[in-house]
Amino acid sequence: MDDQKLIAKCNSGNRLAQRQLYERYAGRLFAVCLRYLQREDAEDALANAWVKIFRSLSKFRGDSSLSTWMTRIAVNECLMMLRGKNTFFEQVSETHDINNAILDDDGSDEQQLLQFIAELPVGFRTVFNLYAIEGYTHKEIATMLNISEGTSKSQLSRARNILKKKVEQNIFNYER
Amino acid sequence: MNDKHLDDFIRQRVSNAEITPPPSVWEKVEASQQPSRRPYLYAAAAVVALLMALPLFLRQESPYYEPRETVMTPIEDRKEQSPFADIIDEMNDAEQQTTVQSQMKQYAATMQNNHNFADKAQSAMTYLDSLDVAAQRKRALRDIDLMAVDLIEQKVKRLEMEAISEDLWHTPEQIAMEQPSAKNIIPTIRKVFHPDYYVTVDLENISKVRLPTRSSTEKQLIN
Repeated sequence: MDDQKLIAKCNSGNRLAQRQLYERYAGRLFAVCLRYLQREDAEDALANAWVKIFRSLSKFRGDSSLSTWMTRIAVNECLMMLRGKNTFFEQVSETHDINNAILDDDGSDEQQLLQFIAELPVGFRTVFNLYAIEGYTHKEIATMLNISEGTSKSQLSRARNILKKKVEQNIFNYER
Repeated sequence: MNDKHLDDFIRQRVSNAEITPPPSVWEKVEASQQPSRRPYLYAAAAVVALLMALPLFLRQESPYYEPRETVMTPIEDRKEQSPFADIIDEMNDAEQQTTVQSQMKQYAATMQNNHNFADKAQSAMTYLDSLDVAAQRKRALRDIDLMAVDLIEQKVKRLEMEAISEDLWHTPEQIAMEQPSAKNIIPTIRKVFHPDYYVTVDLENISKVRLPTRSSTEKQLIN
C-alpha cells in the first residue's frame, strides 16, 4: 500500500493503517530524534511527533515528500524539548552535555557517525544537524534557536572540527 | 577533507538511518489517540456533587419555605372558629370561583341590611339550595356560617346585656320563643368561640343555648 492510500485510511480513523504508517517511518524518525536528544527524551519527542502527525495528517498537501514532512515535525518536536530544558542557550564547551553511548555500535559507518554526532555538545550537535543534515541556513537556524547567525556559524565550525577528527581517525583511519 | 566534503559524507550516511524505537513509544501514541474520558468523569463528578448537596439544601431553613402545618391563612383561621368546620372539611377544596364570590358579596350586603335574623337565615338556605356545585355550596356555607356566627354573637351579647341590666338570665325557652324559626335555618352550629365568652349553640335544638356563667361577685359589681 502506498503512502497516499495509507494516509487516506489514517485520516478515516483506521487504527491498522496508523500502525502501518508508524512502522514504516518510526525507525527513521527515531534516528532523527536521537541526533538531537538523549534516548529517553528522544522517545518522548518521537511519541509527541507521531501524535501531531496523526492529528495533522489531513492537512498534508503533498508539497514535499511524506518523509520530509514528518521529519520536519520530529525536528520541531526535538527543538521544543530542548527549549523546554533550557539547555540549548547555555554556553557550551566541547565536553559539555555529551550524549554518550546511545546507539548500538555495530561497526557500520552509519552507526559510528550517529554516535559521533550524539557525542557532540548540545549546541554543536543541534546546529550541525540543522545545517549539514536538515539543510537550514544560518539565518533560519538563528531564528529557530533564537541565537545570532555568528553563534550558529561558530557552533557549526566547532562541531565540524570535532567530527572531522573522529571521522578521519575512526573511519578513514588517517594517522596524525 | 574540507567542510563540504565532511557534511556530504555524514548526510549521505545519516539522513536515511533507521533505529527501531521501543514498543513503549507506540503505546504512548496509541493511548493519546483514545477518546478522552475526562468530560464523562467531570460530568459524573458534577452529578454526584449535586446529589450530595441536595439533602443539605433541602435541610436548610428557607425564608420562603414553611412546613404546611404551620401555614395560617386568614380563611383557615376563620375555619377553625367556624361552627361549620366539620361540614366544610368534608367537602373538597374546589377552586374558588369568581362568580360565586361576587354573588356571595352581593348576598352578604343584602343580608347585612336585613334586621330579621330568621329571614336572613331563610334567605341563606334558599340561596344555598339554588347552588348545585359542591364548591359553590361550600363557599356559600362558609360565608353564611360566618354571618351566622356574627349574628349569634350579637344575639348572645344582647341577651347578656339584657340579663345584666335586668338581672335576669334568659332561660333556653325564652330564647327559643324569641327565635322560633331559627332552628330551621342552619342545620348545625356547634360551638362559637369568642375571646370574652364561650357559648354552645345548637339551632336544631335551640333550648340548649347557654349564656356565660358569671360569678355572684361579678353580678353584684354590675348591680
